[in-house]
Amino acid sequence: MFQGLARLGGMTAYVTLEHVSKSYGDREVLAGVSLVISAGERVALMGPSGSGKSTLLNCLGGIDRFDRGVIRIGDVDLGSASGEALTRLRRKQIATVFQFFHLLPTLSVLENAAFPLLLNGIPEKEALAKGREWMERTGLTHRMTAYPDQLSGGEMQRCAIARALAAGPKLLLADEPTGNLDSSTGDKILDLLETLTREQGITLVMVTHSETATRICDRTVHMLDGKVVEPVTA
Amino acid sequence: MTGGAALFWRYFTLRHWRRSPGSHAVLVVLLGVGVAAFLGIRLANRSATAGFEVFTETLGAGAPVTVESAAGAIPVDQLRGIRAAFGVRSVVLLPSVQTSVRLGDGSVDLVGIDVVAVRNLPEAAGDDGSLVPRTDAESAVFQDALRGEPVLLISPTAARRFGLSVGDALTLGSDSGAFAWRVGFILPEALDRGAAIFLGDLRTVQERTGREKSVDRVDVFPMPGVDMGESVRTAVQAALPPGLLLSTPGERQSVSQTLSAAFRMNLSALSLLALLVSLYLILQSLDAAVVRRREEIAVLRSLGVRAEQIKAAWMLEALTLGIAGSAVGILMGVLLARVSVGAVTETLGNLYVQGLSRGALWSGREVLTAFGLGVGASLLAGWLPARDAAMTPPAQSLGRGGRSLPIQLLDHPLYAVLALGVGAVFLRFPPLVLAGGVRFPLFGYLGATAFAVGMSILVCLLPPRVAKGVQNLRREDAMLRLAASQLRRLSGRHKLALAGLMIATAMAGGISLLVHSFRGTVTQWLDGQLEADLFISARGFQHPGSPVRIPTESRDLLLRHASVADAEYALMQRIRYQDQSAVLVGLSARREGSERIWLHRPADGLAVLRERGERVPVLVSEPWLRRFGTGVGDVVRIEAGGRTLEGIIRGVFADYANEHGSVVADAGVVAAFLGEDRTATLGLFLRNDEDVRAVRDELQTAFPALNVRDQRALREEVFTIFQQTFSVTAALKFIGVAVAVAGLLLSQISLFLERRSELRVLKELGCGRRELMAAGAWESGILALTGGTSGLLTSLGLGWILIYVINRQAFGWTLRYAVPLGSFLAFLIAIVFAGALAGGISGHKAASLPVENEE
Ligand SMILES: Nc1ncnc2c1ncn2[C@@H]1O[C@H](COP(=O)(O)OP(=O)(O)OP(=O)(O)O)[C@@H](O)[C@H]1O
Ligand SMILES: [Mg+2]
Repeated sequence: MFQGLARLGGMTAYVTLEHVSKSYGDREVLAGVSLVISAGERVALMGPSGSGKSTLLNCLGGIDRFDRGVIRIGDVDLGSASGEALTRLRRKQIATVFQFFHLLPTLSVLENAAFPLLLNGIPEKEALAKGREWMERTGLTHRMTAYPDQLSGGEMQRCAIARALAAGPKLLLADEPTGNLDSSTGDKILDLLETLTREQGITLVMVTHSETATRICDRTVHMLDGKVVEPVTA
Repeated sequence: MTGGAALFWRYFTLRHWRRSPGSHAVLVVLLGVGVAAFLGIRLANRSATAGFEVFTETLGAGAPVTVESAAGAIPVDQLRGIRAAFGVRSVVLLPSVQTSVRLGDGSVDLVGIDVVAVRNLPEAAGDDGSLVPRTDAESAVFQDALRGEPVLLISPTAARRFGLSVGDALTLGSDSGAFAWRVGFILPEALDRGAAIFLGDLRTVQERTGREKSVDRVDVFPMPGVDMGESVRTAVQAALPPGLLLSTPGERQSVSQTLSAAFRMNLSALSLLALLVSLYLILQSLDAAVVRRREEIAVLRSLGVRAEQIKAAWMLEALTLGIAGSAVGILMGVLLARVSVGAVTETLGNLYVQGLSRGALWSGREVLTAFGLGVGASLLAGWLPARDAAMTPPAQSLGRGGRSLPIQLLDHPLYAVLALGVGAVFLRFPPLVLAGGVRFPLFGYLGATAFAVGMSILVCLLPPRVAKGVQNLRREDAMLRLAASQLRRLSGRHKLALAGLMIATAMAGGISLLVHSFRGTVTQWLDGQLEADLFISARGFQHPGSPVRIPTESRDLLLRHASVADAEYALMQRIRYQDQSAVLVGLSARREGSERIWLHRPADGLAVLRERGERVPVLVSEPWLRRFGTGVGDVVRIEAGGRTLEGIIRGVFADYANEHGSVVADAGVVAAFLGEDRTATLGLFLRNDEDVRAVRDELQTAFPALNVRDQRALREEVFTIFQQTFSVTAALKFIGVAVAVAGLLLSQISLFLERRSELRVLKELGCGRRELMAAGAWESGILALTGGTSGLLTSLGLGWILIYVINRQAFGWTLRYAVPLGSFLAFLIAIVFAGALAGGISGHKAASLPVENEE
């Protein structure tokens, strides 16, 4: 039905959620979320604290399980996919940017960016060369050899974005990417996200608390108590 | 996925090690200490016991059976009879004489062996390092040199000690005069057993020591495939000329051998403790590392790293640690062995006059074993944390929700009951009998392990109760209340720390109890053994079966000597009892003062031997009791030379010197029964004002055929050795506490890391560094109190098992169970104090953990 809707709108659905539910004990955190996101679309996810935004994002990223419903990314059904298939999905198609950056502390900035490529079995030289391109795109060339604990918040998030996009994902999940940054740094990060996702044709789902952040998105989805309150509006 | 493994190793393991070299170095050193203690003890042990053994077994170690005479030397014309007793069995007889001769101002052993017989020895006879040369170029030299000429073949130790080389001339003195000899050959280093040995041709040695008509012993080497089992030996014994006795190396046990065997076994237990303890430490530290790096693991998982890859990466980390730690440990261990052996064997060497090998300190096999065990231990210890790392749920961990190690074993008291039950069953099993008749109490060890495991599960039930009790003492203390609330629902990590602490304490306590009992028993026994000021035996006397005796005239002269206040002497005779070899002792005890360690003491002690009644009152040793199953009140019938002596057992005494059991009667009775009054050993008690040394020298000159030992000096030296040897155990106890406490520290730090969100609340509520330190100190202190107390209680049980099951099964004798109360108390205080300190330190660290980033 939702696929049908998306087709009617002339777009290809890339991410589809149908009645997704998840509970912790008897507390329902996601209560039947349905949502269709087209390829290349940028969606902002807003809602009060505890409404289930991060949980939804984790389910989309395949790092958390849901109880009922269907999540499809491309042609992969997350609910029935094997652990192996999920791993492959995370390596090749989905990338995440976190509020707290979560850089790998033992790796230099360049190595952090190149790491997903190394993980995909790309030879070190090639991976590092590709990583360097991403340093340029994210404006980190001058900090390439530094380690995460030597970076400012904005630099850390740039590095996290470089790491997320280096392996060429189709879907970028961002959980409050500017939540830990001052507003001018946050603005630059948002610009960077917009430029890069547009350039690479990447679908973006971004959780945010700031109204201004939604400017880089095509539409905004609101959540309340585990439900999408303004259903699919293009 | 080898490329992947290398990737993780280079980008994570190696990087983490480089980022915090200090803490990883500590980890490597901790493992190193475990491996070093293991290796050091084993090497030192090897070297020291090798020395012990050299003491008695100088020649013929390769001979499975030996013929000796009960009456004295074996007359040469009985050799034909001995050969006949072996019938059609193809054996080579190797007769030898062994005497002490003077070289310079010391005395050395001169051994004469039959060169012709040596040439016929089966190939295998010399393989174990006995001094029998093999039929190759070496033995060609050996044979040529020895035929007719006064040429000696000496051991490398002898060459070093006396600065001799091939071609040197030397003079050896005996009662028959002084004779010139020449060094013809120095035995290969491989055959050196650490003693100064001088070998000559049998005929020449006999001529030059006035012993043409007899030999001391005949070693018997069967040709390959010839059976020398128990039944064959019984048959041969029956066919031997009267007065000759067949014995196997097992029956020629001596004090030094049983004691060293006991000590070796107990030290092995100690070295294992060191290793177990480092296994526990590695487990704790790797687990702490997993908690610390939980975020990194979660990110990796979200980047698409598989759980198995995470696990493999952590196992690789454990492997790296194992290799580095073992390498460091081997270096430290060899050093440790150098130092401790230096201390121990130095004294042993003085004690037994003969030199001890100090070269045998490097053993490739021991080093490899230690390396393998070190690496194996760290892999084993890495397994749980690696599994925990792989199970990290990325979503929750990126929000930093901590989880504890799932250890189901520690959650079920039922398992405890099961383990204790299995342990109790194991303790009823007999020991395994290994090749060579060695008894290995495998089930005893298994039972002890099961007991400790069971107790460690039970102990996890205690902390909530202990915490409640402590809390009642200080109800107003908020931090104590907080700590107690943490202990009310123990996490897996708590349980692991507690169980580890308890087991480490129990093992250290058990070993300490064993050593305490061992020391108490042995010193008391040695005190009895070495009571006299001077100890006299005939030259060449080594054990009850040794044929040489003190001539009766010499004994009577000695007893009447002006300096002698009192004396005690013993007649000894190897006998057959119920078809087994045993010893009959005729004891002439002092009127006053002599005692034994009794398992069953007659009302008036040794004086009971002088009672006269229908049956002869006798005492038996503990091994006799165990072998023949007879006890107090039973009748013993001893037969020898067609006569029978009927005795009634009146008491049982402990004897750690030999395993085959002795029966003791009054010297007069035994002399009459044997028709022979020659004394084997004689102890002289001098008048108080006598200079023991001077009297010794005087007597030694007056009686050159006797061996006069200054026992007072010997006694002091023996005690010094024991003190030194036992001081090793103090170090191990220290390691035990250090490890247990380090484990507690690591786990407390992990607990704080896991409770970061709670920490933030505490800080917001106004808990400063001091309060957090107090909370940590209470929490760890209560754990340490619980673990330490229950560990020491468990050690009472472990000590009981070690003494009454393991030692008894292995050696046939019982130590006196003695609890080192003072040392236990000090140990407990140290543990609780160190535990609280560790908790305080972790609280201090927790206070500087960043919490701003928490959601
Ligand atoms: N591991 C968990 N166990 C139990 N409850 C959980 C767990 N993780 C999340 N929750 C609950 O699920 C609900 C939704 O959490 P979620 O993190 O998705 O909220 P959010 O919308 O991202 O909020 P915020 O804007 O504050 O980040 C919350 O009420 C939270 O308490
Ligand atoms: Mg959130």
